[in-house]
Amino acid sequence: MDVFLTLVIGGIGDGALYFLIAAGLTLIFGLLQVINFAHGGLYLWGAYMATFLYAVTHQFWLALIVGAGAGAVLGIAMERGLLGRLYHHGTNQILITMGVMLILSEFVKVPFGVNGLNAPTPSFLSHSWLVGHVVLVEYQWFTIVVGAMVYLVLHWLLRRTRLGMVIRAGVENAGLVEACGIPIRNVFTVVFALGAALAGFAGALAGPYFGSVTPGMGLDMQLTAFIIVVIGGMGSVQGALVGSLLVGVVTSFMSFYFPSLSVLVTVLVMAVVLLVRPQGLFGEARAAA
Amino acid sequence: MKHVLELDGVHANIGQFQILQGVSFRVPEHQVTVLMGRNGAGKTTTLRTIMGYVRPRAGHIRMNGAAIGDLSTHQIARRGIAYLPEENHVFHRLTVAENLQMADRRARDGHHPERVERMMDLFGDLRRAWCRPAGSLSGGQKQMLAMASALISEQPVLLIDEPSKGLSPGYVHRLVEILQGLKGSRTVLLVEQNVWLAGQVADTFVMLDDGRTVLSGNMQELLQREDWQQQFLGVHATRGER
Repeated sequence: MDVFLTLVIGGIGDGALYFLIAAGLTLIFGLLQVINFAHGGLYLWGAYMATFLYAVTHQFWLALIVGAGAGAVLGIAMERGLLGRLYHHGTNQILITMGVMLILSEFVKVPFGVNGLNAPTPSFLSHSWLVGHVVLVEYQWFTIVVGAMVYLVLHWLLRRTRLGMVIRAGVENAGLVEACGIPIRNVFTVVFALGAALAGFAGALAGPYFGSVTPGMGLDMQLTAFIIVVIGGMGSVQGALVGSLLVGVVTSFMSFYFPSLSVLVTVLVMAVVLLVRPQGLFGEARAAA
Repeated sequence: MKHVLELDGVHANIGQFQILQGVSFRVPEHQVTVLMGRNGAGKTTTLRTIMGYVRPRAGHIRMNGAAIGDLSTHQIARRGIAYLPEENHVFHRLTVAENLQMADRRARDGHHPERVERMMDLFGDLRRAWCRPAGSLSGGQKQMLAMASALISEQPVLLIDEPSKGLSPGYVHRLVEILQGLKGSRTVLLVEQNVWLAGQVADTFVMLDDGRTVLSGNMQELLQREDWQQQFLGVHATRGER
């Protein structure tokens, strides 16, 4: 039972981190119809910028903000400079975003080296407690709480604000939003920046969570986030949450009992979901614009 | 007579296909003008070109004398044109209330209950469905919601694409009442295949054939000219095309 609880809590912690990156990916896909293969690169740069800044200043909150900001700045540059010219060109988008992903992964080695950086947990979040035989790690719980708060804020934004209403309308029919006099192109940029900021923020949290940042972490997380978004339904934030927790918990158990099959089982879960419900758990068939 | 919209020799392509090959007409202020023609004549593309979804390859589009052919769709909407497409004219996942809020650009300044109340009075069905997703409405209710969305914005010009398509006779008569009620206060450019409905609401007509304007004039004249109807529409209104 203790092992079970430890694995569940660990899975939820991983899931909370996955959610932050998957939420951005699914928002961007939902509105812009862009499968952003560079999303992991934004996460990577968020992680490095935050880790570097924390090492220099020891200001954890500032590091989180700068990590999110790095993601947002790179995201806006990508959307305005590259993707804005390629909407409705699916193949080109995939190639471009994959190219950007490789560039971001390689370029991070120039200032920070090829071996990665240590990312210590801030002292005020580095406690752990033993309850029975279950170890509760403070930073893990911090990540879970942050993930839950981000979900609630996104839910509020999408359901209770005019911007959220415009985003939901744009996900369904961008052309009709334009006919309402709303410049959907600007909404695209806002959503891309928000998704990119979430990726950068996830990266900033991930450094202390895993203890280090490495140039390959973006590609690893990109694959996981993509699987989560497909499972949850592309465009659904709720789907991203459920998918993240599912993948987090499944991966946690598989890593403990059958480590070599961990990735395989995650992909199998995705395949089963696609067979039973091709649009994902919370995805919906889209109306033509 | 003042003309709100003017199209002059408009050509437009969709992909490699040349759809509009010289569309020219003027839409008089505060009247209903019906755009007619067989399937594929270019009626919907004409509306989409006016709205900026399709870029004109040649020719000019003016609103109140100012060129709008190079503007983006949201800029054109802000100049005062509301557009009801033939399909997907409501946001299915948004509630009825949210659909009206989307359409009412001024609603961002706060709620405007008097405008909403006016729509509720006009479209009683919507009051009962206020909190329901638009996707759960019947086809007729969706059309009424789309019409309410276009009206709540109080835009001076309405472009409406085949509003009667797929509607039951009861809703078609409701639609006729609403369109007749717009005369004198709004300028309407209506795409409509139903000659009976067009005859009930339109003051003037424009006939398109193969992407070109071939006729235009008074609607009553078209209703009397069976040869035109036969030649360009393949129907006779006087035989009860309803």
